[in-house]
Amino acid sequence: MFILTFDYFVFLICLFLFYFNVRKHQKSILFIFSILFYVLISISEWYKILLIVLYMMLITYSFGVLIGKNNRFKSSLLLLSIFLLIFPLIYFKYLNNIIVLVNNVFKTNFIINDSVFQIIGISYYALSAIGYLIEVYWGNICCDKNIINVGLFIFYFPVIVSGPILRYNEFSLQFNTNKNLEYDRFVKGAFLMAWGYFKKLVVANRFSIPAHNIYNNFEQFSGVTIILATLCYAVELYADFSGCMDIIGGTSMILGVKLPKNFDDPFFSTSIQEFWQRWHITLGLWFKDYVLYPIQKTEIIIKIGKKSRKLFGKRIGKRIPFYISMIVLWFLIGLWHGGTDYYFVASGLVPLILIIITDIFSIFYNNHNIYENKYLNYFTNLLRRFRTILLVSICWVFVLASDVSKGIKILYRIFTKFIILSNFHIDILRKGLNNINLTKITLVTIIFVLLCFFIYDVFKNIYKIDLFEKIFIIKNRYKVVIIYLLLFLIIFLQTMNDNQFIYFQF
Amino acid sequence: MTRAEAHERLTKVFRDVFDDESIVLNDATTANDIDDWDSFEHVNLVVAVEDEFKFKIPMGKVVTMKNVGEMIDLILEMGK
Repeated sequence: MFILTFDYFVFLICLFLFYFNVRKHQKSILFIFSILFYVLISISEWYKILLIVLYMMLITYSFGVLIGKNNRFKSSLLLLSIFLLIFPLIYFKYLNNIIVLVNNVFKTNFIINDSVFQIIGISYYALSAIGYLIEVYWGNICCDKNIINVGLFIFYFPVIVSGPILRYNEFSLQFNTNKNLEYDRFVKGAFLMAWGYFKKLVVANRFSIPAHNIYNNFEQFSGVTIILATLCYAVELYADFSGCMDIIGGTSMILGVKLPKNFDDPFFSTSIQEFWQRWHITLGLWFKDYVLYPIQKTEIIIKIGKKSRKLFGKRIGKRIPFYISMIVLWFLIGLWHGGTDYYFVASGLVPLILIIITDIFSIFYNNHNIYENKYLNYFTNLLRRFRTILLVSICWVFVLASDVSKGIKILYRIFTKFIILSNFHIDILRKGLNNINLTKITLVTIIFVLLCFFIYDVFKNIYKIDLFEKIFIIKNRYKVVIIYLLLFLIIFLQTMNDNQFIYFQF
Repeated sequence: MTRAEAHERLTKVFRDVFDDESIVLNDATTANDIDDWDSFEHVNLVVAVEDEFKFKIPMGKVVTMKNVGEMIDLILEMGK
């Protein structure tokens, strides 16, 4: 894993030069090290990656300048630039997956292209670059006439492999002045990094053990056990991705650049819509601003909306154009996740169906009940949160199964063999602990993490105290103690079963 | 059109889109202050405003408008 290997310590050299050597050239240093970092972590030959870097930079920079000139061809220029930026993404990332998908579905024999090589992070930085050009086109920002600024925005090394997807106006503002090394910012960044490593190496890796082992032999287990395994995977995925974001966020904080939030306690969402607003936030906002809104504002969708209102009444009619836009949106999100059949189902089809069904329910059922008793309120929201997690887990079934037909078989087993009475105790006690390699240390870690989740939740939702935010405002010397405590816990509780971040693949 | 007139007409649009006669707007009102003002209703609202004030809100503004005050500024600049 790049972020946990020596490659990442390029960062330390960069940091030294950034603050102590040639502070006047901070942007240039960061740019050079970003490219160096990207070449070092890339699996393909370095010259191929350099060509891709140059290509993406030149397209973004030159089309930014051309579109910014406000000429009458700017719509065509924008479309052409989007095509040119998406082309390598489709060719190198999605094409083979789509060929396999088409061959499977339509029983065709299209040949897979062997000449493609892996380009890490292109799905993230291509979206950032497209977002920049759209903002220039809309006139919300001016084009940047310095190619180093554009290059740094696209290839800023902390975010290059897994996002978050950046917005140019937020990013460039933070680079207008030279930065001094501030002890406070350094400690906060280091704390965030330690927290991220803890999430990945302890939480994600421990929760992955029962999840993957149960799924590998799902025929032996009851529906309840499979649900528990899926919930373990949900925690694994969250800890893995948000842990990665914390490491990245901490790294960037030390360099003086605050990154946008990518998670907002998604497991505490009371509805499925809210969950997707709090999970991978920068991706959701990108698709909302640059895909969903423009589709909803096309003449044809507006006309459909007006007609459907006349036909079905206001309440139902206004939903039809929204659902059409959502079909396009979730198809593209499914494609963004790689274009494989199970990611189309898990990241496109299932979320789409869940959102539409819950929205239809919301016409008849009000989900905003608020009770005067705060404990009753908490309990009701707890049930809603649990319902949301269970519904979202349907997506994770397909991701964890990595196969649509296996996912369907697992779902079928969950519903038809929910509890196998004669085997139930064997499931949990014997197979649970031995066959799936659930050691005492893993079990204790899982219980400890769930307990922490619960305490955090109670404080946040009943007493309105965010314990994590509290840690951020305590004195630095205590923060340093917590960093050491986290490192101590990582050393004793970590498991190196899988050190690849799940979201690196996208 | 004065700011007060724009404000009054805009309040009617909001009440109609969100089916809520109790909505009261001020310049600082944002999506967080109105329960149903989410990504689903945002464009419905924008289209209703365009129909009422007979102008097209540029896409860049659809995304960046932060509150009702900014919406009224835009209406006064471009609307009828």
